[in-house]
Amino acid sequence: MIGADAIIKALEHEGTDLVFGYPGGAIMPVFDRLLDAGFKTILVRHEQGAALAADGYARATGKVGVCIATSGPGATNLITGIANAYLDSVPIVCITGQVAAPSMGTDAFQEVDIFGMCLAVVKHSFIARDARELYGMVRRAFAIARSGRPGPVLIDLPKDVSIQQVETLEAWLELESKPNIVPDDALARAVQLIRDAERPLIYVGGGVGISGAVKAFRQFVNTTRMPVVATLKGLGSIETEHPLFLGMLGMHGMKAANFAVEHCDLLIAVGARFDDRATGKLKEFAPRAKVIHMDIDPAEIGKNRFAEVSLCGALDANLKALTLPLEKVEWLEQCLVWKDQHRWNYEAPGEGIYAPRFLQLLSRLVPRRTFVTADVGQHQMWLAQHFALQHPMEHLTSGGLGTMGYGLPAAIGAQLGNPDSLVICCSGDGSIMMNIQELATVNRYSLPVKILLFDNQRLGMVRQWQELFFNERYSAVDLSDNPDFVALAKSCGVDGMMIQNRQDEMPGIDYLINHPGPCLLHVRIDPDANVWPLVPPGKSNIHMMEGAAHAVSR
Amino acid sequence: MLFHAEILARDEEGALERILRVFRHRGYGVRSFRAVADQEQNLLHIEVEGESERPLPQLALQIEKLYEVIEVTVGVLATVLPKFENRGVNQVMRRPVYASSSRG
Repeated sequence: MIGADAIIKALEHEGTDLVFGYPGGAIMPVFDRLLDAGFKTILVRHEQGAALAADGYARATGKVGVCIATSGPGATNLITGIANAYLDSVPIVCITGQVAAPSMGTDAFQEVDIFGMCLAVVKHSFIARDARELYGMVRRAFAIARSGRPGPVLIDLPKDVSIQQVETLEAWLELESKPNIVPDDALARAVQLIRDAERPLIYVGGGVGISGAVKAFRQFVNTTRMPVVATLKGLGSIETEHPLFLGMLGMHGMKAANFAVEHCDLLIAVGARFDDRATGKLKEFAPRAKVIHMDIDPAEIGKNRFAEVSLCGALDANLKALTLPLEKVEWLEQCLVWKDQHRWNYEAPGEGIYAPRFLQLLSRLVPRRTFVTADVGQHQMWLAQHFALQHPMEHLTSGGLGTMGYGLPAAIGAQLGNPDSLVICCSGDGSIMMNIQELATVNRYSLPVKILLFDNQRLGMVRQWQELFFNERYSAVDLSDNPDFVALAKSCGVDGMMIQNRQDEMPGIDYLINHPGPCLLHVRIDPDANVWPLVPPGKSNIHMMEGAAHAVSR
Repeated sequence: MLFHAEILARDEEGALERILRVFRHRGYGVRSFRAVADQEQNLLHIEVEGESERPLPQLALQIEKLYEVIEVTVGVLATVLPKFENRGVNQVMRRPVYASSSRG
């Protein structure tokens, strides 16, 4: 047995059912052994695709995603995907080949210090120095990736270590669990704050979905009957159409959600981290509220906003402890009035396709357990605002890093993890080109991924900001020379169709839902359409701009 | 605000870099540091003195997150220099780096 075998064994013992990868010189011993492994190897067409697909697989299955690349450029190409997983707390394990240990530090062919380069974007990382420690290292990497607040773990594997002989798989030590650090009286104080509050509001983030606390969270909401606002990653923690759900908060949030935050006197943050896109100007965020902050990461509590009570630890138990019936009728009525007054208006002028309306219609017609992935830009915000979700795991979006090019690889990962589910990648004409090569991966594995491509021939979100904040000076946002997307898809064995008139909405939706194999629906939309509302950068969330003709809320 | 930090960590590959990175990235300037590796016990003991306007508990919390870190103590320092002298830190260590930099 050699080092590479020890890695395969460890992956098998972790229950890995597939890895994403791209071979190359330094990682060849591992790819050789992957041929005989008890799991599949998915060959992508760019290492960034491998890392992002592993991220998508992890989010859509709750398991740890794995990607494998070679040294040098193979490793550096992973970094964006690793950073994406880091900022969104996604458990992935990345294995990179490295030049043989004696050559390390000599600027050898395809040598980079990937360990050093990734220090800022990994939860932890290892350099394998001895094949005997490999098995335990991989097992430990998995344990670290999924423990506490999940994140990416990197293992850099010199080529000579991967071919070094190993006698036995060394036993490995389980990760010692960190004790919960909730002070004895914190829960009692939290209960008291909730009872005393007149206008309590729940602010839910990605933590509920990540930690599998959806059931406990919904019980908490349904029993306390407090209104809920969600971050981009918190969407789906409670069904979008739930009566107590006011919408996404923040920069592109719903008015009702931002008004509720402005007026609440108690904000209960559940697995959320007071990110600037959610809070707007931090000093003016929830100005009347005391805060109860529930999170598993102690470093998030008090980082951006002081918390009167901090409940650091697993959400599930803490939520259960706070699940008590309440009567805050007046406040709830006020919130529901806001929600009704500012509900979305889907009646856009003109004959063209209106993306918010299209997404809202689509979400009502897809089967249960449909996964949607987003790229980054206007379409991502429209998807977040208008696509009604049933569960946070079904919405894969690059929240923290905002990685254009995330959507297609993530959809590949989600589809491989959920072969029987409908998986839709919602993208834009800018984002899709960032990892367009993965169409070939879709074709190779006959994955029935559906690509919904909104095309405004612009980098729409940048264009919107240039229009609003840079005196309409449009710099490097014109994409009117885009390729013919339908022909491009077809050249990769993916069926395609283009629509641009409102009357084609239903046939387009039908095509997305019912086309038997992979397909791309190219939807031409108005280049001037903007995402509303919009809180300008550095402003408080109550300063919500709205445009005249497009995509307004009432 | 001048601060002092003391960190005990397992001496694993990259631990020193990983820990110091947190200071820079999170906005805590390092004025001096001293690190000793205890090879017998596989422990790394780091003492840092520096300056920052950011809250100190956040520094401790971010460092504690690192997998190798066993213990962190962070506190405010009234002044840095007398403390250096008390410990007999030599002159080279006290000289600001930029003053002797060949790059100007």
